[in-house]
Amino acid sequence: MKSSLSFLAVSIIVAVLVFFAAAGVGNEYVYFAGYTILQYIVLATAWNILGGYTGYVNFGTAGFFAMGAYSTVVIYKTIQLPLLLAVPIGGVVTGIFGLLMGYLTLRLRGVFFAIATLALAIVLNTLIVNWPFVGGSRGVYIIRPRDIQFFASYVQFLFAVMLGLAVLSVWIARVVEHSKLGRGLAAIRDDELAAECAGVPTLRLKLISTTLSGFLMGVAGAPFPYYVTYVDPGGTFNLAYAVNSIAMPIIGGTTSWLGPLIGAILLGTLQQVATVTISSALNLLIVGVLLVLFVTLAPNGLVGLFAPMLRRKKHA
Amino acid sequence: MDFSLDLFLNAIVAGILLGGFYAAVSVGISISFGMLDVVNIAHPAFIILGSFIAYMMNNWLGADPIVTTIVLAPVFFVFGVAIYHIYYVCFERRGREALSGLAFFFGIMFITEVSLLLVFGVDYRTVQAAYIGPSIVVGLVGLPMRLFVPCLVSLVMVFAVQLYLQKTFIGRCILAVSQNQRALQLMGANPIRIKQIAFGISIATAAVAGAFLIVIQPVEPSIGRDYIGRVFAVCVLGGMGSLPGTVLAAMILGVAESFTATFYGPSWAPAVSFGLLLLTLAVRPSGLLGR
Amino acid sequence: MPDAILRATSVSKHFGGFVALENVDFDVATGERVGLLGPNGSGKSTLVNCITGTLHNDTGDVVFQGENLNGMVTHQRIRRGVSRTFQIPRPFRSMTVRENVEIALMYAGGGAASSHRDEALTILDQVGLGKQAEMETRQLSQVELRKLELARAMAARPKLLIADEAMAGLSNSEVDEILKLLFQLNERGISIVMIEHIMYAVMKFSQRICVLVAGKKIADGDPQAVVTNPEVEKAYLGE
Repeated sequence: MKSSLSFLAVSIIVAVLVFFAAAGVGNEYVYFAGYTILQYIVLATAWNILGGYTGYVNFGTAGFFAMGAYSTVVIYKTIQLPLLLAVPIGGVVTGIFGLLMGYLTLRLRGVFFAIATLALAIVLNTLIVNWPFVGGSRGVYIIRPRDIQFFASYVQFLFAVMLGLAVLSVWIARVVEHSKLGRGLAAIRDDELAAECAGVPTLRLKLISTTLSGFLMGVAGAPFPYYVTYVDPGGTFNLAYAVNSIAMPIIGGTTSWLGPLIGAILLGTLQQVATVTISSALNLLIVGVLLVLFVTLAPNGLVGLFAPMLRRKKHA
Repeated sequence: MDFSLDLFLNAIVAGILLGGFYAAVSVGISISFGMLDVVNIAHPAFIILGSFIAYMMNNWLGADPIVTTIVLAPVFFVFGVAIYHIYYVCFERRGREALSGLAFFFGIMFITEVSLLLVFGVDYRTVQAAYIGPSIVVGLVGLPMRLFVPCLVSLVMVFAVQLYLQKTFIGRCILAVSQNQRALQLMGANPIRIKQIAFGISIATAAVAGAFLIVIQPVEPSIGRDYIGRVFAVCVLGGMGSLPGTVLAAMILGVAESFTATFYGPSWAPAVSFGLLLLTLAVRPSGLLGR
Repeated sequence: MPDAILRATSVSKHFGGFVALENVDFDVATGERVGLLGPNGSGKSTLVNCITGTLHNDTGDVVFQGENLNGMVTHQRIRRGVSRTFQIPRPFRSMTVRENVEIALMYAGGGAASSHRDEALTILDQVGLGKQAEMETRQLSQVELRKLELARAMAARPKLLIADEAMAGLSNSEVDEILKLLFQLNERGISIVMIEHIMYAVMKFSQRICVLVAGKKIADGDPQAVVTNPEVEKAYLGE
């Protein structure tokens, strides 16, 4: 336990440094760009808990993300809670949804689970489009508060919130990875039948994994309405979320918490640059090509490519 | 719900015609997923690719979309062989199918869709042909030719594939490889070559089905996603690799969708296929005519 | 059988129209060494899967230490003391040899978490994999993988171990290595069911032999009597 607390302390320090570095730039654009990258850190890490650790591919990240976003929209239109309360609520709602979805689909083969996740994302999308209360296909406008205590602007506050969520998600991923739960998930990923025969309660662990993954995707989506101020199904159920949340862990490396982090930072930054210089469709194409290249040629990701070198250094 | 006899009959007929088309769309998945256990989630993307090839041929050369795509089917066959080869070398041989295989095909699907978007944009494309437009009326029922012709050709194609599988040596090897790879080796055939051929056929049928699609309705790059649910629903309901089962399941799906669209509205149609899939998986995972 | 640790009664299992098991009775006494024989496709694996819970029998009961296992999922049965090895070894490839054993200790074997590492090393020493503890599983030879299967099964602290073709494809000396391990486990009180095609090993090991053919049990008793039983001979040679 000691090492996970010191990891948390170091991460918080790094996050604080990042915050002040961003504040030092003096341009609000840094917060917008940074927010997107931090959001991807959370999404990629969340996806990897179910995908990389447990071996179950989720094609419906956009659906979970949207669920978090739209739960904030519902709160905004009804009881108007501050964001710091809306975030955990969005996470819990999405986590429960993940649990239910898992309960329905995890007894099936991994393949059917993956297709079911896609199905659920599409069904959710259809439901939202037909729900006028949250704006339907025309979307809703969220008014960002003008200012907030302790922070120079609300956007800076959003950046800080997402920094906090990034730290939280990476820390949770690391704790899980090194815990008994993490070992059990790895056994499930390697060989589910053998895992059962080694005493691992596979269904229970898979449900924990889907719930946790869903929770983290939900908290990633919860602040989104305040970030974009205009929420519509097209922008929220964006395919970019699905492909990125898969590509980033695969490119970074799926077996550890470090992979999604690296993948998100590298790919996220690349895309921020590319969207400005070239079209966003071409940008997505590059992500798709990188995904295919890595999954065929470097299946253990960047971490897998460099880990042997690190291990050799350790033993030298 | 506005019930009337001619609405009801037309819904059934449209459903059956659509079902024939869905059989063509799904026969490739019955082969690649049902028989070879390869999760080609990119299958619908190849359908759309076929649609756009048909569109281009029709637009530039005035050629009949269905005929040209059948002529170009060998190209898609080769394409399919190549993709399977990559899949085999990188995944199946190393025993890492599950996670990585899915991600690989997802990437392929994504690349195909975005490439089409970059080249053709988001507009809907259609084709021109003599049989798009007219309808035959039989009593209360109207048979739109743009549904009838593709349905007919679809069923012919599925029947042809079934004949190939049952009557030719390679076809029977394909059926054998889905049951027992060892037995195939004893027969003296190379299982990998057989699987390559099977996968190539699967992709070729997808491309041809794409031509049928663009005859039936206008096509734009992202509608492939609607078909993921349909093809897997038909494959599972039909019994994972049984071609007669595929036709039966496709008809059921077609009629179910047609009824839903007629009486509840077309926006619910995508939910029908996924709902049917989940229902089948929950109740009878071996499908209707499964082994 | 009075002190049966496992009592499977009237177990049947069919897949669609195909009958894999038909009213099979299978008992194992505490501390007994039983051989389970039968041609390929006779239902041995299906029976094992019904005992471990990978499959659920359509009819009949599987009673272990007086408790009916029907309806229980595999890991629940493993935790009650049923264990098995696989015909084709199924190691956890992302883990080291030691970590493979630790998983079973963590989830089935029990004991304090802090002791798992040492216990895993002890078990590995017992099967002769002590030096390979920190290696990746892909570096192991066939016989080493079989030993890892046994080590993992042992880590679950079983009272009944089903060794499913644990010696298939091994050389004579390797077969003897595995045989010795199984004898050692039996000396500690673990009942063992051996499914094998290597007759030398079966005859040497078993106190009793059962034979399954086409889903039915056709022989059950003293090894010498069973192998000279004309029906058994017909099943193996007469087809």
